[in-house]
Amino acid sequence: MACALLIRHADLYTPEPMGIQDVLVVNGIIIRIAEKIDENFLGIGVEVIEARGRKVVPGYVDQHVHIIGGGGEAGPYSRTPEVQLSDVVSSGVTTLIGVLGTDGTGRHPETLLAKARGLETEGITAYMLTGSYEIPLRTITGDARRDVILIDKVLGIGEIALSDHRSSQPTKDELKRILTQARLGGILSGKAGVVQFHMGVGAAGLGMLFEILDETEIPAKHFIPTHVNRAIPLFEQAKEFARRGGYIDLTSGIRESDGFPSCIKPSDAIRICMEEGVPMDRLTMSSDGNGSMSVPLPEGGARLLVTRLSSLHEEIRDAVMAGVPLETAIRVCGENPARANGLWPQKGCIRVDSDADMLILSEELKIDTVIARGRTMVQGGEVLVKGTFEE
Amino acid sequence: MIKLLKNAQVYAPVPLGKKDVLIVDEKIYRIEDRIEGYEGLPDVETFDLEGKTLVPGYIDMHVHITGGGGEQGPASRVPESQLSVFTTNGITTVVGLLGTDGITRSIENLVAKARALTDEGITAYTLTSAYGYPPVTMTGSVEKDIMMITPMIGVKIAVSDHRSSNPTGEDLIAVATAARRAGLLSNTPGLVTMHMGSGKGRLDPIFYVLDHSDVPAKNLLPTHMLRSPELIDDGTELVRRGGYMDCTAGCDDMDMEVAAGQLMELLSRDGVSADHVTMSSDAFGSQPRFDENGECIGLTYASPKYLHKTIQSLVRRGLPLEEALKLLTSTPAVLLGKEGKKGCVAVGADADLLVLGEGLEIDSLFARGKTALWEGKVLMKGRFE
Repeated sequence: MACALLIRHADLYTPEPMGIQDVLVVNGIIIRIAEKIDENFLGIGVEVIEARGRKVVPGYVDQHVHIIGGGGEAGPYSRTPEVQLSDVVSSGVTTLIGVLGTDGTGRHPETLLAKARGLETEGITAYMLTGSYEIPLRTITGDARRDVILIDKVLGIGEIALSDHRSSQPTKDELKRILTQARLGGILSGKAGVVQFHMGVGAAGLGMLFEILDETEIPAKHFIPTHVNRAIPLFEQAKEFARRGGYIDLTSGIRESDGFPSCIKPSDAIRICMEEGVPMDRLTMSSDGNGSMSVPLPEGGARLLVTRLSSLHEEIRDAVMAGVPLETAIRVCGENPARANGLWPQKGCIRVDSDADMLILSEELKIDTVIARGRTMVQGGEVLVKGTFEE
Repeated sequence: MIKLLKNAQVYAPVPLGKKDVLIVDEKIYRIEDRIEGYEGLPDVETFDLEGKTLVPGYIDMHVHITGGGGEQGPASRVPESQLSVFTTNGITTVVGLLGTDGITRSIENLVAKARALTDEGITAYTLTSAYGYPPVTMTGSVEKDIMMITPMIGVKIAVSDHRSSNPTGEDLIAVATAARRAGLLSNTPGLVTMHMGSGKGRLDPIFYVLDHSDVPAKNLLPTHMLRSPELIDDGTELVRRGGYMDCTAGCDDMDMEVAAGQLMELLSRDGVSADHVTMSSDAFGSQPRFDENGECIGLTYASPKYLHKTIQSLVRRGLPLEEALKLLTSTPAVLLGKEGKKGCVAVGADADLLVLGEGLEIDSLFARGKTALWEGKVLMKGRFE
């Protein structure tokens, strides 16, 4: 059934601040942005949302979510559950990229694809990367390049673990081959063809990635190291990597309160990058949602928890509180990951012809309303659309 | 982005009378007697269809989009299709498939071509495998191809033909159950399109599947069913059992008239209606002729233009337009699981709309809301046309 939605009096961030605008959406697409749009423009059936001058920003693009769950590092009981639609939309995420993690044996890319398609049917937009931590790559068709070319939802390869005791200790030549597979697959299918690297705390850090940039002609845009705020030396390398043209991805769930004592708080990392002149169009942030985290207990030992997608907006808000302009902060999980993954301008912006993925923020910059492909998923902070099997 | 079509006689395919139709982006938003208040607004294009007829864009269930043929060696391989060949003949949705050649033609290539056609403006689905058995696939199995690969909706196989692998009833059950499971799991039709040859077995393997398995008749679509009177009789039996049959339009004017005559006779049979019969072009497939020794003695290739010519002929022969249209619109939409979205003029459906002139000639075409053809002029072209 055709449906239309008019957002009135939005303090619009496209992400550029545009002042007060009306936004008209039909069938999930933004068809008109103007200072005043007549409610009867289309004749019938227009749902009106009165934004009352509140900030309206693009829906978040979360490029690293364990949509079928992750974890498992303390045995089967530590496998984290799969993501539910309401966890996603209540966090302001309207587009996500599903990944496998440590476990490429008990979890498969086929499952990831089915889950991505399921989430898409439920109302958001979902993609995936093929592979997991390990090498040789776990794929659907037997070959990562074929996966990227033949499977519509596969945007690239990842997350390949580097500098981590859980990695396959890949050699530089192996990494070069993986990067070229992603690049070639991307070229032939019209996709970004990126490789996400899970960065551990190993001393080598991003070393091999710098060497590959030096030794090959593979463009830096194909490299996305993630979890780069895990430790100070890694973060220092990451800033340099961004200056060389690569993307660097902060993990919003890597915070001291989440069991990472020596990390840089993501909102601080955004502010530091801005202050130090790191190219801000290379900076992205993802949640690592539905992975596992181990939080130390005061009485000793640790408790396993599942990481949440909601950390993304918490860190954006904190960054704004710390003085980062809103339009700069929201790009970090909107326009920038959308561009990095070849999804812009369909995603990551509010423009005519773009998908109608938008957040309305309250005056305290909390997520009030979430619109995904033209459908109101969250309103007044309450989830309206739930997953197929959610209570 | 907004288009207003005024004063059209609408066949949805059921006749709706004179209507205005409002298109927003890719979909039909309103259908009413009069839609007012849009004239002169920015971003609104108005098209006056006074005296013209608006029908759903055609769905062609059988197109060799990457080219077929090859039965007289490499020089007889048919070239691949170009976008405007479809749009100028009223077609907005195609199902692409392979034919005899499953070796130099690949499923990967088929999928890439289908995606290109969809990017260019129409809608293209694909079937995995080709004539032979065991199936040729992308991922190693029919089931996995249908489940993992968009826009895969089913599988192709040849039956009762000297070019087939002579699949047995049990072989067909294996293929059909795989397609059925995959269809359910991926929410696609899981269609088994069966190229029917002139072999002695006729539809026997299909009846075997219906008699010896639980695969629903709707999953099985035999095609080229006008090939012989015996096949038409078997098809009649299949339709009476709740199944569907696909008929190939002719490949020249004379052949087209013969097919139209056969269709008129078929549709007049008890228990047979256009709700269970579809028509397709076999376009870009070769139409080889074989002598009694099985030697190929010549070949031509099919054009999609005979689809609409057949509709015109059926109407001339007295079939109501709304019945004739079903063969290319609402009935294939049922088989594709796209009722209400494709093959109809309805609010919320894709704006795939064909405009016919006063003599029922093809006048204009909208494909997913874009103007592909206007008053005979091609406006939407393939990248290399």
